Amino acid sequence: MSRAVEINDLKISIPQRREDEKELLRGVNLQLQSGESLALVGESGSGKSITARSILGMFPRGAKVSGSVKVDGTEIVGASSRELRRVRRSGVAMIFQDPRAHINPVRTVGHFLTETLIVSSGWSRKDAEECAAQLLRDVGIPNAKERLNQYPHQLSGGLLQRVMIAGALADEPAILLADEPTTALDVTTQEEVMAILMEMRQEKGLAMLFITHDLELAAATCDHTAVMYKGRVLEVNTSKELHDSPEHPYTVQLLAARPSVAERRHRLPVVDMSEEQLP
Amino acid sequence: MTAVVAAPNNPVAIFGRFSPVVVVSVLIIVVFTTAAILAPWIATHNPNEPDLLNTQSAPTGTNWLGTDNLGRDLFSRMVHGARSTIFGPVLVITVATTLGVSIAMVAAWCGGIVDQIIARFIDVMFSVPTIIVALIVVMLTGAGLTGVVIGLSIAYVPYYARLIRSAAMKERSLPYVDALWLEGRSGLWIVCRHIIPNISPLILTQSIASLGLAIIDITALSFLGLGVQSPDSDWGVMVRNGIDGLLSGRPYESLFAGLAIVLFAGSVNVLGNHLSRRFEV
Repeated sequence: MSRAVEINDLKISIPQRREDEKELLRGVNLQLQSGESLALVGESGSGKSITARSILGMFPRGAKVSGSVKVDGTEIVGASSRELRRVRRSGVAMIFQDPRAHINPVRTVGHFLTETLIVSSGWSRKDAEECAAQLLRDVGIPNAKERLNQYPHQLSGGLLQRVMIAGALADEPAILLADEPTTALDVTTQEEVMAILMEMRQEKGLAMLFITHDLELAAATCDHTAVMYKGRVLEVNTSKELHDSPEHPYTVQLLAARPSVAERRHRLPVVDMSEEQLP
Repeated sequence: MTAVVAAPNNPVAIFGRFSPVVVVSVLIIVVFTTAAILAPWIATHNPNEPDLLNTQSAPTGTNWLGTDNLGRDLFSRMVHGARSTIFGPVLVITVATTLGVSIAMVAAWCGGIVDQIIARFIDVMFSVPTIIVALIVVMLTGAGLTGVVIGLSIAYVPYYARLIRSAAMKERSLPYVDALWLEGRSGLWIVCRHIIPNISPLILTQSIASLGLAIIDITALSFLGLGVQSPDSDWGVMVRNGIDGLLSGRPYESLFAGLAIVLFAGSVNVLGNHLSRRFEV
């Protein structure tokens, strides 16, 4: 199996004027094999999204970056903007948490889906529209033709997230980065969207980096799970192993902190890590 | 209960319902503009032909608005003068909008030091009054419509650049721009195809609001004798030319030209106000 994404000792920090620099990532190592799905879990601010964006070469403004990110053998850190555009266009697609914010609100769904095809792949408008309608059908949206003429505000959150998935699949990527794609949705639509995402992934054999807060969801949908905390990857294991016998004390605490119906508690345990426990 | 929803591409949906005042304003704008375009066919006399036996006449059947101090027909001079008075400001606004929007987009997209330099430059330009900038350019090019148009175009740039820059920066910070960027679109594509269209209501509104000002400025410069030169006419030139008549009890030339300026600039401002309310900018 070849490595679709390989992140080695990635460090990102933002220099501050008076204090020490703010470290966002403190040496992240992560591998994603092609065709494999990897869940990235961790609390807010642990660096999950920044890691995902690094794969596409989007670092915070003014950040100091060191280490290496390789996508299909192409080095991303320090790549020219032309090379970055090529990777973004052809190899990797990203799905965001809030589809309403991440789709231009004043353009139609059809425009959103066809733009990629027309600009990146040089399709004719007619072919692109045909393909866009097919993409919508693939992600389970009925009346695809009519939907193309609708605006994002006319669609529900779940539908719009499917549109975004369709858009991500339009340029036939090999790697899919899903940044909390279901966090903004209610539970039933969450399930539908996950089902479609899994189906698409299997059908097209995509490698997927799936960012989530939800440990159960990570275990249920991904082969491997990586746990991040304060800009470090603490533990990577197969989802089942990680779930059943976590190695790192943080993972143990994180698993213990989940609410459960079986065991009602007045207060959930708080995750409390001292610096010594971190690598 | 049935609600009537206008189709998205219907003019009412885009520009809103016109109140009677706005309708009248639009009519005035349309009539004046058509008259300017069709001036050679509408004019009853040659606008530059003197008739020294019939000077300073009051409105009559042949000279609808009377004649000036050289006996030239005021109506014909008005419609011919409408050309530079209307199209001069339109040209000024077109050039200023193009320049201003370009500068604003460069500042908003590049950010950092580029933005800082552009922002300071705009501040400096703001500190020089419009008319002064125009005067300096006219001084270099010599009196005439060309100099006035170039001068005012430059002078109007900061008004656009400042406003559009802040709107573009807000738009640029929206997540969908990041998403497009991560899809591999170029910066130029995102700016031209997404950011500019999305703030176009603001650009349009600002253009029309500034058009009202540009009309006043251009006629003011003509009034000062820096714009359109004799024997050609312009409403500002006519107000100036009519001053002698005004003092000797024959106010027609200044009156009609002044009235035309007020009506036209006023109408443009009413329309501008309506659009800014409609687009909530």
